[in-house]
Parts: sequence; C-alpha cells; structure tokens
Amino acid sequence: MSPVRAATNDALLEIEDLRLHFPIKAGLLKKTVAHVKAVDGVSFSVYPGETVGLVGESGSGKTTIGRCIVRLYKPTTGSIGFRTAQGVVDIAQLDKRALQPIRRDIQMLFQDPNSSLNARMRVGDIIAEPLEIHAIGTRDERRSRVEDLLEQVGLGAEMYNRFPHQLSGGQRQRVGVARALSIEPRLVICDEPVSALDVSVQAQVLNLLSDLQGELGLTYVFIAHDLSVVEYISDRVMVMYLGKLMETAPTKRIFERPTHPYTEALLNSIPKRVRGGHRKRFVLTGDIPSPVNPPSGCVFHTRCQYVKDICRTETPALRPLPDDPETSVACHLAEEVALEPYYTAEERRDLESDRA
Amino acid sequence: MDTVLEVDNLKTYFFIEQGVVRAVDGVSFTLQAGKTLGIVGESGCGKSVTSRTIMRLLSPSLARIVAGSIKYYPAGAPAIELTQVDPYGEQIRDIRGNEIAMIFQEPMTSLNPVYTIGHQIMEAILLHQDVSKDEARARAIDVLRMVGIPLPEQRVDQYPHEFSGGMRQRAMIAMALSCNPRILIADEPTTALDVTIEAQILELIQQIQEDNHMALIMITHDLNVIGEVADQVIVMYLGQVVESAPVDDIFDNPKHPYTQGLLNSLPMIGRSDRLEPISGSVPGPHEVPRGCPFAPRCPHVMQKCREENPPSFALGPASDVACWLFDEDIGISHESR
Repeated sequence: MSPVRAATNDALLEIEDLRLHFPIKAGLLKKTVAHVKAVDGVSFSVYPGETVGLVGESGSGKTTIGRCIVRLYKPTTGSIGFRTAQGVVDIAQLDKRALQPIRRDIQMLFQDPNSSLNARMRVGDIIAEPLEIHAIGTRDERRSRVEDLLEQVGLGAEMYNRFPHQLSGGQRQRVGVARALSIEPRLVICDEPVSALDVSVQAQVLNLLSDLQGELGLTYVFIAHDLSVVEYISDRVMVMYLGKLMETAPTKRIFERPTHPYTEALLNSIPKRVRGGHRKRFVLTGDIPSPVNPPSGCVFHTRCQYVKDICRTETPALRPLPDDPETSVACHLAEEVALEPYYTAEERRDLESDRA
Repeated sequence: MDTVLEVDNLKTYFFIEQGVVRAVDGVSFTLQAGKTLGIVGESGCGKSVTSRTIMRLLSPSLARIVAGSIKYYPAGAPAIELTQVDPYGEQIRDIRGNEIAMIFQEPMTSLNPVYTIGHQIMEAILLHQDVSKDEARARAIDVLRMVGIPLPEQRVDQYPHEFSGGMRQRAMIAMALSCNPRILIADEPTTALDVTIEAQILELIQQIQEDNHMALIMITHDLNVIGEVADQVIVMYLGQVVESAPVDDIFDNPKHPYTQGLLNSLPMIGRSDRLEPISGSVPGPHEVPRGCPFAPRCPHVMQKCREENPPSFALGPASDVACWLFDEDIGISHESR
C-alpha cells in the first residue's frame, strides 16, 4: 500500500509550523480578549499518491488544518508549501488571485452531503461548476466530462438532471466526490467524508475513494474521528490533540506499537471484538481542555496516566524516533513507557487463526 | 427471569399526504430486568419510531398504532397495555420519565437552553415524586454526582451551554435516572460524541444498570456499541425485524444476509481485506419493495423473496430470522448457511 518514500524534497505538501489562532472578541468595542489556539505549531509532509489520516477528538484542530490547506482559512503564521510544475509555492501567503490556479490542484470533499450540495442546482450542473469557474472546455466538452464522471463514481449519466433531494445520502456523497474530481486535482482534502453515511453506504464510498486513488494517482488527506475508517484507508496516521501533533507513524505501526500515551488512550477507547466477546475499553477520564487556555508543558499531561514533573513544565517537541525515523512523537517519555497496542500479541494470533 | 416489557407484532404507521409510511411493521421482543436489548439498523429502519411508540411520544394525529401490543409489567402490579393508554393521559405520564425513561441522541437539542441543568432535573423529580423542592435539589445533585460530573453543587446551577458535549450527555442521563427507572431507552446516546467520551458514557450506563438492576434498550446504528453492551440483539430493516439473536451469535454467526452485509461493511482494525458493502441503498419510505424488504439488495435473492415477505423462522430459543433461506421447503438447511 504505502508508496516508496524518496527524499523529503519530493513532498507534494510540506507544512511548517502552522498556527491558526482565532481571536475571541468581547465588549462594546469588540476588543480581542483571548485567542482560540485551533492549530498551534503543526509541521508535516504529504507525499504524492499516499493517504494521510488525520485523527483526533473534536476540537483537536484537524478540520482547521484541512481548511487552511484549501485556504478557506488564512493561517496566522507558518507555511504551507505546495509543489507545482513551477516549483514550490507557499499557499499560506498567496492572495486570492494567485490562489486561483492552485485551487485547481487542491479540492475538498465535505462531511455532510446534504448541506454541501446546492439544493436548487441539478446534479450535472453541480459537478460542472468547478469546470466553469476554471473555464475548462466548451459547454459540450463539459457535459461529456460530467457524464464520464457520473459513470466513474458509480451513479450513471442518467442522474445528470436530478436534484440532490432525489438522491440518497450515499448518492449525494458520490456527487460530492465527482465534483471534487471534475477538475482533476492532485490533492483531495477529505473532511469526515463518510461519517454522515450509513454503515453499508460508508463502505461503498470508502471503496470508491480508494479505487479512484489508484486510477487517478490522487493524494488524500483524510480527516476522520473514526479510527477504524482511518486504518482502512490510510498509509500514515497523524494523531492530533488540542491543536498539536502528538504522533505520526505508518498506519500499521500506530496500531501495533503506539508511541504516544494519547494514541494509546485513543486506540484503546475503540471497542474491540476478540475471541469470546467484546473486550472492555480503556476509559480516558475527563474532557479535552479548552484551546483558549491549553495546559502548560505537554498539552495532554492533564489526562495522561504516565505524567511526570517534566511534562507539566516543558513542551515536548515532535521528534523522529531513533530506531524508526518514519515515526515521530511529541512525548518526553516515549522511550520510557511501554504502551498497549490495539491487539495484544495473543489476540492478534487468535484473530489470524480465526480468519484462516 | 422477570420480564418488564413485552412487545408483540407492533405496527406503527404514519398517515401522511403522500400515503402510508409503515415505519414500524411487525416488531416483537421481550425485555428482562437487568438485561440489555440492542436494536440495530441503518437510518430509516424504524428503530427510533419503535422507542417513541413505547413511550407514546408520537402524535396520534400523525402516527397510529395499527396493530400489536406493548405490555409493561410494573413491579407488583398487573400488566399495563401501553398501546391502549391515552398518550396525553395521567397513566402514561406516571410511567414516562418515571418507570420508563429515555436518553436522546442530541444532548444540545434535548436540553432546554433557558433553564439551568438543576431546574430541568428537578422538574422530573417534582413531577413524579412527593418531595419538597429542597429534597428534589439534593436528589438532583446526587444524580449529577452519580453520573460523574465534578463539583455537582456548583454545576447544578449552570446552563446547558456551560457544559461540554460529554457533560451534557451525562446531564441527560442524570435526568433520566433521577426517578430510578426500571427501563431505560437509550436512543443513539453516544452518536454525537467522541470515542473517548463514548467509552465513558457507555461504562457509566452499564454501571448504573448493574447497580439498579435496570433493563436497557440500546438503539444504535453502531454495531460496535451493540457488541459491547447488548445481551440480545434485534436487527431491523425497513420497519421489520430481520434477525433476532444473542449478541455473540450476531457477530460470530450472523444468519440474515442483511446482518452479514452490515458486518462485512464494517471496517475492522487489523482486517486489511477489502470491505464488501451491501449494494444499493435503503429505499425511501414510499418505495418499500414487495416481498422481502431486503430482496433488491440481497446477494442470495430468489424468486420467492420478491413475491412474499418471509415469516420469522425460529432457529433456537432466542434466535429468529426472517429469511426464506431458512425455510425447510426451500431446501437449504441451517447448517449449510
């Protein structure tokens, strides 16, 4: 699955120390009284053809990062390097006009297909709109392109004249996929694309996304809170908490050998079926703290079961592990504590023998 | 075992301009004290209408119970036929929120934003129990503490917007538990919550269930939640129960093609093979197919399935499946499936 990684400078997307602080205004004069630190110093790279899963609880900043990449938000500081034929451009700094050509390359797939499609437009026109905006092709060419897209996402050209309300939830999300792909982007930001769908339909859309990736050589940033979905679709996983990256690692490694205590807690809160029934989950106590006033030191220290003094005062940097440079972790104790994987070795053996 | 609720062939139809919607079309189950029944299905399968029919929360001008019975067995009193009680009457109001309580999916829309949390919990207590305001307040603080809300003495005077999502759901649970119900109906109680908070809420519900020997109906689309809490499971599709079985059988030996399809659609960690989704999607309420409702999406569909809706075939003391594949005359034995 995982594409062979060449040198770092091959990255399609390179994010450096990204921050987005939303001001909180109060009083008659709307003075800024504080900031919500939605994204607070995040750096990562995305390589061509891979799927990077971005996970975390609500309020962790994963959607905000997605929206910064498509520039629905302008980051407060930091850079978003995007590789184009003309070299690397910093999306974070571009103005509206300069962004226009980049927008052809980066598209977004939204969570809720009901509210992200214009109810008064026909399906064909919805999918054709990006082509019109970017002035691609003649009217006839656009029509035939849309018909091809409808086939490609499994809807069929006869859907061209339907309205969104005549479609089911899964069909609507396929329209969203067709719209995102109409201008042949290189990078697609998928923001919880299946979480509003029923289980059976969710699986259809996941398979569609992975087939299209193979056919078109797409690169995905896949934002989701459901770790089993992320495990299915991603090559690498990045775990976020309170606007910061806690851990980033190849998918297999995250589930087999988590390195950050938060990753461990998140994994072990997922229900798991093992031989002889469901196992009890690990329960992480408390709520995610407010991003207005994040805890000092490591932001996770208030809920971490391994917390030590250093965690309360010093913020750990995201650093690659000496024995596995593909894995990076922001934890002082990464080398000291042994963490629980999702499956124990014994459960994994049972699982494999049951399947065989 | 003490049966607390018995639902038999329940049918709730909506009579609307466009025609009749058979939202619940023949649902049967029994619920025992201290046990958990899981109701699972995709959107539009009738799981929420089932729970609202039991609570008699549906407006009679819109939804009618056209057949079936719902017997509630109060402690030390004769059974009450809930389909016969006046939905606006004294009798159901004594039961609703008191003996049978409910937790809803959206804690933000189910809590009133203009009253304090304490006020809303006390309302239920004062309505059902003969206590003073001070006693009700003390009880409200008690239940808030019981559901794990820190500093309940202060929190009781706060408004819903001052609570986080997980805290609001805890407050909803506190409200539902304030009168020590014998049956708790939880309708997608964790769907809007993060997985870490979901784990907290489910643990809380199970612990309270154990302490109070409460019967629980867990309604959800999430098979993982069902696997974790349920004893017996019913799988619903388009208003009908397609399979009913003990929880381990549902996961390890699902019988109905729809149950099998649901499980194959579910991404499971550590299982890297490609998902096999059910083809098509749930038809709209006016497009319910003739014969077996699942026939158009079923990989094993036969001519008979398109013509006649299968009855429920008993496969064991607690296992039933509504599928023609299990009809002896069709010739496929249970073992080969």
